[in-house]
This record gives sequence, structure tokens and C-alpha cells, in this order.
Amino acid sequence: MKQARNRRIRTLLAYLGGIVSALGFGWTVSIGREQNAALGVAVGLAVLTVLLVAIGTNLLLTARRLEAGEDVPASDYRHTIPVFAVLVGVVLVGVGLRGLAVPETFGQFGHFRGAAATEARVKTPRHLGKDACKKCHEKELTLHDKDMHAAVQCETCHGAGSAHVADPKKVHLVKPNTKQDCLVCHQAMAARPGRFPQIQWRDHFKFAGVDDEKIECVKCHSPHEPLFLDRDVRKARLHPMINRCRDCHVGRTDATLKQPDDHPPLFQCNYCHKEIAAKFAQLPHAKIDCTTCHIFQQVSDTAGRIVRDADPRFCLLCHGAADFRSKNGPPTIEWPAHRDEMGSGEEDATKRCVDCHQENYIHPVGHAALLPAAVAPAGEVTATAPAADPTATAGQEETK
Amino acid sequence: MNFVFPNEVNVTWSVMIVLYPYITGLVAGAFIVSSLYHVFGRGELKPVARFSLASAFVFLLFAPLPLLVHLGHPESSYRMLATPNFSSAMAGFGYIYSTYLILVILEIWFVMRGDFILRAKGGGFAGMLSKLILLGNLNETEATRHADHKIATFLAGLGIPLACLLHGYVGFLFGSLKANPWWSTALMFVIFIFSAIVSGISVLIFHYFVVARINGWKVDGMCVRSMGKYLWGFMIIAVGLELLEVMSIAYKQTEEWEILGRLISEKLFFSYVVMQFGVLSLVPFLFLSIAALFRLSERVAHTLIWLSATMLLGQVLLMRWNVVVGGQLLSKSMRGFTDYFPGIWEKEGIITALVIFTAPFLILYLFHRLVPLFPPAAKPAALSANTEHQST
Amino acid sequence: MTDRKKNESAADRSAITRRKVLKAMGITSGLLLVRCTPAAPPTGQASDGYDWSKHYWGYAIDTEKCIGCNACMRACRAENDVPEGVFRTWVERYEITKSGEVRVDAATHDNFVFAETKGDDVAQAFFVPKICNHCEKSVCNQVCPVGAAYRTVDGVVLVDPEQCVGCGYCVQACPYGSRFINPKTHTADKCTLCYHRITKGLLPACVQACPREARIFGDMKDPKSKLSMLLRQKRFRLLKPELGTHPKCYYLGLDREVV
Repeated sequence: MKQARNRRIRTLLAYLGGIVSALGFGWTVSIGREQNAALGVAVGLAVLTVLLVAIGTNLLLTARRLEAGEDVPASDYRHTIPVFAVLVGVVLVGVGLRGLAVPETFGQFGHFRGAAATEARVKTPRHLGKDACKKCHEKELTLHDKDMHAAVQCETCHGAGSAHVADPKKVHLVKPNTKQDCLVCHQAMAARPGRFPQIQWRDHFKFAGVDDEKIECVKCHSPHEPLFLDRDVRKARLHPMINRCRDCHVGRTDATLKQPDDHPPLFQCNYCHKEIAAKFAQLPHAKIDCTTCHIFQQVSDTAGRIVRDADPRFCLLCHGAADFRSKNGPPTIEWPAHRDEMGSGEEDATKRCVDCHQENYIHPVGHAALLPAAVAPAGEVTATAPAADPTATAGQEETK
Repeated sequence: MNFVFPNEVNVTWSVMIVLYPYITGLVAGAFIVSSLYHVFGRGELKPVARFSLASAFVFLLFAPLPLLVHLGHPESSYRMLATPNFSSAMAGFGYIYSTYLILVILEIWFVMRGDFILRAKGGGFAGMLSKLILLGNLNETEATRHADHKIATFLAGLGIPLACLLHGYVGFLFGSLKANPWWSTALMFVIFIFSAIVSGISVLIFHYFVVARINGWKVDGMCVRSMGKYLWGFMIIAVGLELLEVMSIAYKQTEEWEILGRLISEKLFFSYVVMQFGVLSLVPFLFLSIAALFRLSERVAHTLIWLSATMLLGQVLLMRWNVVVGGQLLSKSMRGFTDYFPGIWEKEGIITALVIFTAPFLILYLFHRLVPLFPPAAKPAALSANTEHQST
Repeated sequence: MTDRKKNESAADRSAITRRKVLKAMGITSGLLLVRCTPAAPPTGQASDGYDWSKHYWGYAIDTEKCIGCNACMRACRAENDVPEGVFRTWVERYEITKSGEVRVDAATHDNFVFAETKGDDVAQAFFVPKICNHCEKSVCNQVCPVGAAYRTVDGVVLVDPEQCVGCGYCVQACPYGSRFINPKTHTADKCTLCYHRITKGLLPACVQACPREARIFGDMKDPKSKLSMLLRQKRFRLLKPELGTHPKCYYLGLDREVV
């Protein structure tokens, strides 16, 4: 019986050890597992827990059987001690090695190496942006920034520039100037947004009367200012009507136009807006270029247009009263005093100069007036305005 | 129209990751057979009890090898233990695996201590090695044997949930990935456990027959029939679950079935439909049913069981293939499939796979040379087995 | 001079080792010690004045603007040395035919220029740029077994190449196919949102290269940033929101066919 009681005490101790280990296990797992070896300890404790519970249960069962008067064969566990000692040793060594294996800044900000985020920032950028180009290539950049490719970064076509900036003499960037380079963006594709300028280059060549397929786009279009036609023909900026060549070219293209140079200068305002131009020439603003007011301006990502909605401030650039102005210059006014004087007193602030002065000081407006009245000069191009439009009577005449 | 995300064209997990759950499955299955004897007292399994335990051990030794071959930085693999991120299903692998390895080593130590003592007394290199394994203590009395037996039984009991954990966890590793509809199912966990048991029993039967044939021993009829019945039962559960899974997806006809249906009918038709379910499940099922339900001559029954075991080994391998590779053939764009077949000589190719899969058998042979895995009773039957073969 | 430097650095190294050893010994000798080694207090301020707690980077893609020129892909590769065959960003082309068939492809070869398609039967077509979504609840972080995948305080999902073991689990877990194993370093790799650029006040390379401003990058903590304004003004969609990853790449004008 005494043997049984001893066993009971040992059982109790084993269970207590088990419970303490289990609590320790829970505790170690719950604390900052990122920084330390708590996990290794936890695993060791888990092993210990299992062992102690096993020993306790074993002792308990044996004690029961002894109490019941059964003949329990003796067990000798002494030879197992080295095994479990080795086991505990392995776990402890593992825990220690793990402490060494956790990187220095691991767990600083979360379950990762804190230094990694700093290391990710170290690399030097290779694309520097167009400001970096400006130092040496200001001329090109100024042209570029005014035109349709303004949103295209230099490096998008020329490649990453950091190496070139570091050593401009040795490292040269590419000058993409083949058809294929342009067609990367401008090849006609079903998936490209409809308003984006895109061509089938063979059709385009046919239209432009170019027979030699080896001619590159850059022969006519400067990549830096694509809206100009490069070469002698660049007389004016194209305006959106260029997307509707068929406004002029209703039928087949004139067969005599073989080279771009043969085409009449594209486009001078009065080629189309003949009547307005004629009238304009008789009015006070005659000396001024059309494009002074009709700035080709980018209003959205792709669509350019001729500005018509005259902001009074634009007129006031010349007509605003200011003490530095010469008396021989254009007539000046006070604004908005002028508006209020002339008005009924209830005029709203949206009233613009052109609301009163358009017809007699600038040029007549209205749908009919704005339509391309006729065609290019000298009988080389046949053109009609849309016949369906009854107001465009002038356009229905063919000029030779 | 076939479209895969550009990064999915080459599959990330090669045949090595097919091999890894396959080998862990063999471990789990073999261990459960040995536990059937050590814990549940299935006495008829005694002839293969140590063989199965040793098989579990050698396969366990090689289970992480395919992973290491696959890792981009195997030299850093210790980080799985050093900084495990426990929100990852994979992070537990190091700990579960180490625990299980320790447990199996201890189990072997306690089960085979007597044999090691015999060896140690014999001297020579094997004796030295055995002495080292025994940590120098060669005492053996009734009392130590009794203690060993108790601990071995306890460990074998503890090993069953651990085996399920080790392998179920492999299933969870796939089942928990919500990005992949072919993997993302709660059943994956259970399917992996049962197919593991099937493959474990199969490899034991297969190997037992081969070893017996090579050595000219007679296999233990009772033992083989019993294993055949276990195999029959477990394969019904495993294949049943596999079918249940695919049928429930198919029947529900959810959006993902549009692509999974194509995956099964186009990409995996041969390996999944024809082989995994058709030939390699149906035929073993019929064979094992016949062997279990009818009285057959021992030779016919054994042939059927051995054939079934061999085919089921292939079935489970194909199941792993269809899960691991099948899931990667499917693009997460849900618009198409990529292709994969391992090269023969590449780092993660067929030759490597074969080497990794053959190595455990060699180690098992060396193990057997150190400590005999089959009870000596099997040996005298050699003559009679030979004569029986000749007579029939 | 160099000798002294060597000595110093050697001393530094041995000091670290000694400290490490001591730390390890402390850990092994008792749990209390373990608890008593607190983490360094997290600070957001880097030495160059960048404070990551003051930013939260996000990304938007206006699919209606994309022209599929793949300038983004080329810029990304030049900026980040992305090896052949793997992609930190790409552009998908969707063509929906009159009969309702959906054709999808991406330009992954030949300087990443899309091949012409016949297009006669196309009823609707568009491009969709793809990039890492830098999810708020990123699965890739969840599944990384070693803590190599992480999210910075300013909302960027990154890989620590020092820590990564190259298991590929994150590649499998990412629902968007944004991750890959870098064939050169054998570690997981992905879009970093050009972390080395954005923390210096620059735009990510792909955003800067985009000629159509289809890619919009910005600080979501700054209500006046271009991104914040856009997200207030426009309606957008996320990719695979049902997976609960809370992606942070906002798609304007996204078609239902896109996943």
C-alpha cells in the first residue's frame, strides 16, 4: 500500500508538471513570437508536457492496479533516461540555434525583417523624367511640350536615361525612328480607343501618295511635334479636321499627288474658312494671326481643338486699361466697369466681350460662317462640304 | 480561347511537389499500419509491424528532400524553423515534421531495442553503430522490456494523430488556397489523409511481396489478407471522397465549374478520369472486393491483392499529380490552361524524382541489414514456399 | 588605413556575434529573459526624411485610356531588371466578337508589341493593364512561411529577397498571377510599386512611361492627390473582390469580362 501511495504522489507531481508545462506553452506562444525563440521553447515545453502527462497517467494506472491487488510487472525506466536527456538536449540546442538564426531586425515592424523595407529603397532610379533632359535638350523639349506628344515622357521613346545623364558622351540613348517604333502606339487596333490616332500604314501611305514603302513616318512627322508636318509643307498646325480628311477628299485622291510635297500646304485657315477670312481682313483685327486667338490647345488627353470660347481675360491682355500702355495702342477699357456701364444693370458676370463685339470687330460667327466654305486652292483637290447640311450652300460649289 | 496570365505559363510547383505529398502519404499510411499492431493489437499484422515502422521512418527521412530540391534557396530552409509565419499553412511543416521524426525515431528505438542489443553484442561496425544508437546502455531485463513496450505503445498512439496532422496538413496546404478553385475545398484535408493511408498500406503490401519473392520467403497469408481488407476499406473511403468532391462541384454548376469542367475534360481527362478514377480505382476495387468477399485459393487472392496494391500506388500518385499539377495548369484568369510535363534530366525532373523515390528503399535495405525487419519465423518457410510455387 | 578599417569591421562583426550568442544564451536559459528583450520601438522616419506612416500608396488604372503600347512593360523591365519570361506588369487585350466569344491575349514577346488581329468580327475591344494589387489583406503575405513577404506601413506589398527561400507558395496563393519566382535570384518577385522611386517622390516607372495617363498613382492619405480626387469623382471596380483580399488597384471603366 505504501508503494501505491508513493506512486500517487509521483503521479500528482507528474500531472502538476504537465499542467505547468502546458501553461508555459500557451504563454510562450502568445508572446512576441517574432523576436525571440519563444517558439523553440514552446515546442520543448510541448514535448515535456506530453511526457509528464504520459508518466502521470502511467503511474496512476499502475497505482490503481496495485490497489486492486493485481500483479503488476515491474518496469525499469532507467535506460530511457539518456534517450530523453538527448531529446531535451536536442530541443535546447535547437532553441539556441534558432535564437542565432533570427535576423537582426526581424519583427521590428511586423513579421518580417525590418531592414528589408529600407533596403528596398536603396536602388537608384533609372528613369529620371523629362526635367532631367531639359538641361541639355531644352529646344526639343520646348517643342515637345507644346504638342500632342506632351504627355509622352522622353524616356518612353528614348529609354531609361540615368546612364546617359551620368555620362552623356559614352552612353547614348536610342532614337527610335522606324515605322515599327511609331506603330507601337499608332497601329490601328480594334482594342485601341476610337479617338486615339491610329493607322494602317499602307492605307495611310496610299492616302498620302507615298509609293516607297521604305519611307519612314519621321519623313513627314516630327516625333517631338507630331501635329506639324515636318518639311516645307508645315505651314500651320493641323487642327482636328485632319482626322476627317474626307471632308475634302470625298472621292478618290487626286492621282497627281505622289509625294507629300505635292500636297497643297496643310492647312491655312482661309483655305476652308474663306468667307470668314475675307470678312476678317476688313475688320480692325486684320493684322492679327488667326492662331493668336485660336490657340491649338489640349483640352483632354487626346482631343485638341481650336479655342472659341473667348474668355474676357484673353481680350483684356490687349484691351485692359493699364498705365503702361501706349495711347497709340489698341483701345482700352476698364473691366468689369465697361460691362456694367453698357449693360441694363442686370447683366450677369458671364457676359463676354465677344457677345457684343463679335460681328463688327472680330469676324462673323454662326454655323454657316464656320463651316469650311470651300476647298483648297488651285484646283488640285476636289472637296465638298457635307451635302446634307442645308446651311452649307457655299460648300456645294466646286471650285476649280 | 486560351489565355493564361503571363506568369503562369511555366508552372511553379514541379513534379517534386507531387512527390512530396506522395512520400509523406506513404509515411502516414505505413505508420498507421504499424500502430494497428502496436496500439490496436491487430496481432495478424505482426509480420509487417516492424517492417511498416521502418518503412515509415525511411520515407519520413526522404519526405523533405523533394521540397529541398524544389526550393529556390534550400540553404535557407532553416528559416522555416527560425522565423515561421504561423498564418501560413506551410510554416508548420518544420515543426510538425521534426516532432514526427523524433517520435518515429523514439518509437523505433523502443520497439527494436532488443535487436539493437543483440547487434551491439555482435561487435564489428554494426555493433559499434548499434551501441551508439543505444547510447551505451546494453542492459536488458524483463523490467526494461516492459518499460520499452509501454513507451512504444504510448508513442504509437500519439503517432496516429500526428500522422494525420502531418498529412492532413499537406492537404490543408492546398485546400486553403482560395485563389485556386481546383484546390480550394475543405475536403482536401480529409482526402489527403485517406489517400495517404491507402498509399501506405499499398506500398507495404507491394514491397512485402517483392521482398518475399526476392528472398524466397513465404508471405504470411493472414497478414496479407488482413492488409488487403484494410486497403479495401480505406480505398473505398478515399475514392468515395474524391468522387464526392468533384461531383459536388460539378452538380452545383457554379461559375468555377465552367473552367473546372474544361480542366477535367480537356487537360486531365486521361490522368484523372480514365486513370485515377477509371482503371486505377475501379479495377483495384473489384479485385479487393473479390479477395475480401470470396473464398479464393491463396495464390489467386495474393495475386489480386498485390495487383491492387500496385495499382493503388499508381492511383494515389496520379491523384497527387492531378491535384498539384492540375491546379497549376488552370489559369487564375479562368480562361485557359498551361502545359507541364517534367523533363527527364532537369533539376526537378523525372530522374531526380526516381532517385528520391528509390533512395528510401535502399536505406530500408541497409536498415534491414542492421536490424532484421521480418520476424525470423518467416525464413524457414522459404523452402516450402518454393516447393509450393513449383507444385502449382 | 585599410587595415584599421578591416580591424574595426572585424571587431564590429565579432561584437554582433557575441551579442547574438549572449542573446541566444539568455533565451535558452529562461523564459523571463525572452520576455525581457523588447523589439526596437517602430519608427517611421528614415534618415532621408521619408516618413512611411504619412503615406498610403494606391494605384488606379483607367482602362478606357490604355492604347496597349506596353511602354509600361518596357519601362518596368528597364527600371527593375525583370528577367525574360516573367512579368511585374502586363497588358491584356480583350476582344469580344459579335457572337459573344471573348478573346484575350497579352504581348509577352517581341518587344511586347501586340500583334494585329483581323478585327472584322470584333464587337467590342479594349486593353486592361495588370499590376500587383498591393492588397490590404494580401494572401501572399498570409501564406509566406518565413516572413519574407510583407506589407510596408505605406501600403506596399514587398518581398525580402534575403529572407525568401523560394518555395513558391505565394505564387500559388496570389489570385492575380502577380507573383513569380525570379529565374535569376530564385526568390519570389513581384511589382514593388517602384518602392525605390515612390519613396523619393518619383512616380513608378510604368506610371511615368504611360503616354496616355492610363495609370494613375498617388497617396490615398492625401485628399488632394490625383488618385484621391479620381476615386472620389469616378466609379471603379476591383479585381476578384469576392476573395476578400481588398485589392488597392482601382479600375475605372472595367468590363465585366475582366478577372
